[in-house]
Amino acid sequence: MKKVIIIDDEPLARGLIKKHLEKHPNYGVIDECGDGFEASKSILKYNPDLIFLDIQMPRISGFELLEILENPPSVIFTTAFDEFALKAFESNAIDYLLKPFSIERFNKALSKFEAMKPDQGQLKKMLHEVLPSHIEQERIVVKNGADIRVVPIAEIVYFEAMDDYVKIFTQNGMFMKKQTLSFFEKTLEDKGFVRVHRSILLNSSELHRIEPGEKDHYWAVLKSGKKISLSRQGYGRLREKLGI
Amino acid sequence: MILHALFLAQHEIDLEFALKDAAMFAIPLGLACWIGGITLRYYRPDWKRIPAILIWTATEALIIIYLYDYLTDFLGNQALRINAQLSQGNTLLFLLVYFILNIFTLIVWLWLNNIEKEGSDKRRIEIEKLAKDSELEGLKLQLQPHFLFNSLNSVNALLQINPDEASKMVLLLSDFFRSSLKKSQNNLISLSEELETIQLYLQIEEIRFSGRLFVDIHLDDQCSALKLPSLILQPIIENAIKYGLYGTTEKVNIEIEARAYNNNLIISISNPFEKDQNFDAIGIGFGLKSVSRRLYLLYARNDLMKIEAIKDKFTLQITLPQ
Repeated sequence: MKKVIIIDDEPLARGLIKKHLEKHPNYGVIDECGDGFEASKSILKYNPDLIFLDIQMPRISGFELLEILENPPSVIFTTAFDEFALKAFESNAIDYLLKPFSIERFNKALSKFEAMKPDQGQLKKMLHEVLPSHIEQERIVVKNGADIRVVPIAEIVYFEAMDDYVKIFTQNGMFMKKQTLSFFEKTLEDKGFVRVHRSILLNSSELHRIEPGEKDHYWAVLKSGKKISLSRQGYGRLREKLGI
Repeated sequence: MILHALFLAQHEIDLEFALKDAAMFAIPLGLACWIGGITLRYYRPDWKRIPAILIWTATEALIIIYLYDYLTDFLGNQALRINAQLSQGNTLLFLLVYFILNIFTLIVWLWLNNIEKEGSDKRRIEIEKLAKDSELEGLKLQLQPHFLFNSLNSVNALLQINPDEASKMVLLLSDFFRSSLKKSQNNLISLSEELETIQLYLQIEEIRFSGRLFVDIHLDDQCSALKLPSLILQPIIENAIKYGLYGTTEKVNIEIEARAYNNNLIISISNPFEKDQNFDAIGIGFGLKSVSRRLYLLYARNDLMKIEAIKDKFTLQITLPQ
């Protein structure tokens, strides 16, 4: 039997999917979740074969939930209205159910899921497309074990690249996220973030002053007092950003 | 022309001759002015063209004088004109005509410019108003599709699970959309009218969230007649419900409170909130942004929406000047 989790903030929407699944005895609904926090715990606990995932949910969106999962299960997305998401689905050939949907359409989505091998690459590619729009909404979702946090962009002091991860230093502590530094560099360019070093992306509004070091080398002194080494290119980029 | 005739008459000239003479002078001058006026209506020269205009009016003045000369001659008035004491020659007359033509051109130019400016000011104000209206309209409509399709999905679910409720839901939805259509102009409505629509909305939400939703409404007696922009409360309440619902079973208490204070209508809407989840800075979704934008467009103030998270309660307050 295939394990299914239904994630939607509306009980009736979950009820309908459950009802449709009753006609498919090889599927069993092992849990229902009303928000992304619950869902992330439930997915870790049950390791489902398939999830039905609503995109617009309170607190964190369906996309943000997928982003924080190490090994996301196969997904059938459900959404009522989201032009941006639909575009991403279509350009990546990912199946989704547009609410309200017919039982025929629902069954078709299930057979499509059965016919296809799980393809995490495609999912990742799509997330890469849709997530910048969430970051434009001024936030990044991070996960530390079972603890999920939503970090407002304005609270971030700097990012530091470390292997496959990025360390996010905020006014309220440090968080790790599996992501590349250049992804944040690209999406946060307009928010005052500057690549001041190969491995550092700095929030320029956190800068207190620039201090000369030995020879041509310079330091960025942050408002917190912390010093960050500037690469030669990084120094140029920072000056350009500040317009000096 | 009358002045001209009187002037001549003063100099002991026969009135009939005086009138004829005046007409000979005034008709070409009037014609020149008329042509100038028409031209200016379609072609408005800028300051750089002043020399050209001066040359043009000078030419006109010359033509008028020669025409006057010719006509008075033709009608036998020539002798009269020369005999009159005003005959300082054509130079003085030329200067007079030249002066009149230039003054006339200037006046017409300023007058037409003024009319046009008034017209364009009016148009600009109208365009700005249209843009504002359509933005306001858009902000209101953007809130609807998401609600509409989710509700239709609920109806679809209810048809399978509980057909009686489905029918009730369809009727509520019709009433709700009818009442919001009726209010889709941007006028202000009374709080009691807005609350009627809100009640319909809340009944729909109660069905959608199957008995988990509890709403308390506290209303000051003096409030119900106070005015607010139509449909401004719905997105706020939608947001409160969305963020107030945790998990799949917990109940959510929404409080709506309205009071009059200092000639303002103040409405607070609160929902439960789990502070440890670090959401202080995030509670603003699209719906709330559009509310604050609408308030700004309508009242030209940025301080009418306030958000507060105290302990386990998230409160949004809007102030509506009366």
